[in-house]
Amino acid sequence: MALLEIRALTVEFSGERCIRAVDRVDLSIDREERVAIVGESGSGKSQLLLGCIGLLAANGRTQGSVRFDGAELIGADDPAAGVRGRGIGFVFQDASGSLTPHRRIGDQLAEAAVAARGCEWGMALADARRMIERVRLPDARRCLAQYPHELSGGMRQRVAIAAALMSQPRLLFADEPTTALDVTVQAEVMALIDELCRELGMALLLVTHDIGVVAALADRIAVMYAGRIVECATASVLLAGPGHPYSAGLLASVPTLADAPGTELRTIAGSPPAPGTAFTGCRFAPRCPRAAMRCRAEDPPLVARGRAAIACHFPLTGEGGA
Amino acid sequence: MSAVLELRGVTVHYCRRGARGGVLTAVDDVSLSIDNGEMLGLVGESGCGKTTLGKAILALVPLAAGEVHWRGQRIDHLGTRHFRALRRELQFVFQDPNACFDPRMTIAGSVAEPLRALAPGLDAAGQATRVTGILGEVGLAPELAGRYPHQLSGGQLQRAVIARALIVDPRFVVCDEPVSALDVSVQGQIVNLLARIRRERGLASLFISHNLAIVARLCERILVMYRGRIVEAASRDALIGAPLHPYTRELLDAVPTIDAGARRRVRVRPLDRADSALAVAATGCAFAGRCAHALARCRSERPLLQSAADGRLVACHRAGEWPRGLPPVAAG
Repeated sequence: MALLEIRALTVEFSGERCIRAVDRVDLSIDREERVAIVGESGSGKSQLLLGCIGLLAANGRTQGSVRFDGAELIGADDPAAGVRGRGIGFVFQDASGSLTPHRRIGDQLAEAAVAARGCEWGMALADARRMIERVRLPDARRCLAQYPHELSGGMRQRVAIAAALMSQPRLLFADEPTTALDVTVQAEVMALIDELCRELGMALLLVTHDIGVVAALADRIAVMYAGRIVECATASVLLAGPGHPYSAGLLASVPTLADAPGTELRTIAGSPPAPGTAFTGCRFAPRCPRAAMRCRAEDPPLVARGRAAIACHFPLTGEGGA
Repeated sequence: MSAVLELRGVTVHYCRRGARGGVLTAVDDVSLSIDNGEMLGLVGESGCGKTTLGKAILALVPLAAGEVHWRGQRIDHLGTRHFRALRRELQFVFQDPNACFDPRMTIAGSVAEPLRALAPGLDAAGQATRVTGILGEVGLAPELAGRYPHQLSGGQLQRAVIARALIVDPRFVVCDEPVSALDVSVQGQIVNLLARIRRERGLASLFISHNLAIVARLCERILVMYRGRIVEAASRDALIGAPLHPYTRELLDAVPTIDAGARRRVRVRPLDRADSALAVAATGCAFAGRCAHALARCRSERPLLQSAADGRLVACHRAGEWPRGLPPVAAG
């Protein structure tokens, strides 16, 4: 049985008009597996994470099923309260937003351990110190006594990761954990997450807009566009030969040092559809270089093609599409 | 080609408030020159002083020492009133497009604003013509002119920011992280737009970014900044092919590679206190605390920016030991 099993998950926001941010998404994560969801802003990737754990805005609704270790989270009174104890940790993009500004780091970390595991305060503080050392922050004792504003952005994100790990989760949700950080710090935080997942036997569901960031980290990559997963495959298959034209476009638009200088960067023409757009046919068709009549009329389902699952009538014949 | 912009020993101090007080040197003795039509790249991490350096050029922060020369004229000691005449020639493209616009003004209104301030002779019809022209140049559809900032996507807003900087026909632009707030798929569109504008207008500019892969796409010559100082200055090919400063190597190693087989080369290193952006080593090399090659000398004696082979500059005591550049850190 998969550790996390998402079935036909739909996330909608009510308002002047109903906006469907996530549209019948299926995704499963095995124990100790590392899965990345990649997509542009507005693709619904963050709402998918938040929907799983019931942290949507007040006007958000979920349908479908999310099972964590067999237990259904959708429809529970407070899904987040349920999983905090049962082992999902969260790391968000803005580390300062997940720390309380007026409490010392040590108290905040210890509190997480007490809330999740009910251990006594002294033990929780000792755990906090071990966790600070584990995320390679220097001078753990001093760090525990500091306030969030005294740390740099990269250090704060390490503290946020430490806080997420205090409940000893079996699954870590990370939403753009490095987007607010510098390139060098970004690479280090990713390497740290990688190392912690291995050592603690933790599964990972990571959300990002930058496929370059996860290329070396994820076991499996799901590419999301306009609320749907358009391609899902193991990282090596998808990176070697993306099947969906959108995945190919995302990969090509990552700037690398190997590119010839002075040449134009490859881009994906146009911009993602505005939230609430009604679709007929393939959602990517208006931006797709391969789009044909059929694409504008008929919505392609996500089906297994070779070693990947692809939602495209005319997939590229890369590794994944062959 | 001759230099249009020259900085000599530019130093900027910020006074720290509160109990710790004192003076923070954000930019420390930086000299550089930019040729006519050149786009010079400046890379470094947040807090290294790269934005402050850009602001110093445009007299948006006062200099503690040094000189700025624009087309042969010294401009750093002009007062606000005298500098105003130069505002049409020198412009700034800011990082966060959302923070650049008044939410209650239409895009056309915001883009036209510099004209009202800097070209008061232009009538309303003339302004409208200029706005239409510049929106077309940056690839914004005419129907977006009447929209408000919240109705535009991040990429469209960044195009509008660029349009507002270009509408007064500047001859030099500081582009401060113009793509880092954008999605990867949209970044490329803006990078290509900036390259085209530079080509078509022959505009001189300083392109500031923390992403070396993007700077390398756009700029022939690149400066690497660390803690307020230039630590390496070289041509793009020399810098990427054979980096001499260990910090440059670190920046190169941090650029994501999309190779299904290759594991990330970056190791998890313990952070040290010196990583806090405000702490500056009083003596020795500012990078020594983080450097895998540091010797005792690096902690006691500050390395100066000196000429190395092929006309490049590097501030490292040990640079002479690896004349062919530092190799990538092996996978660990």
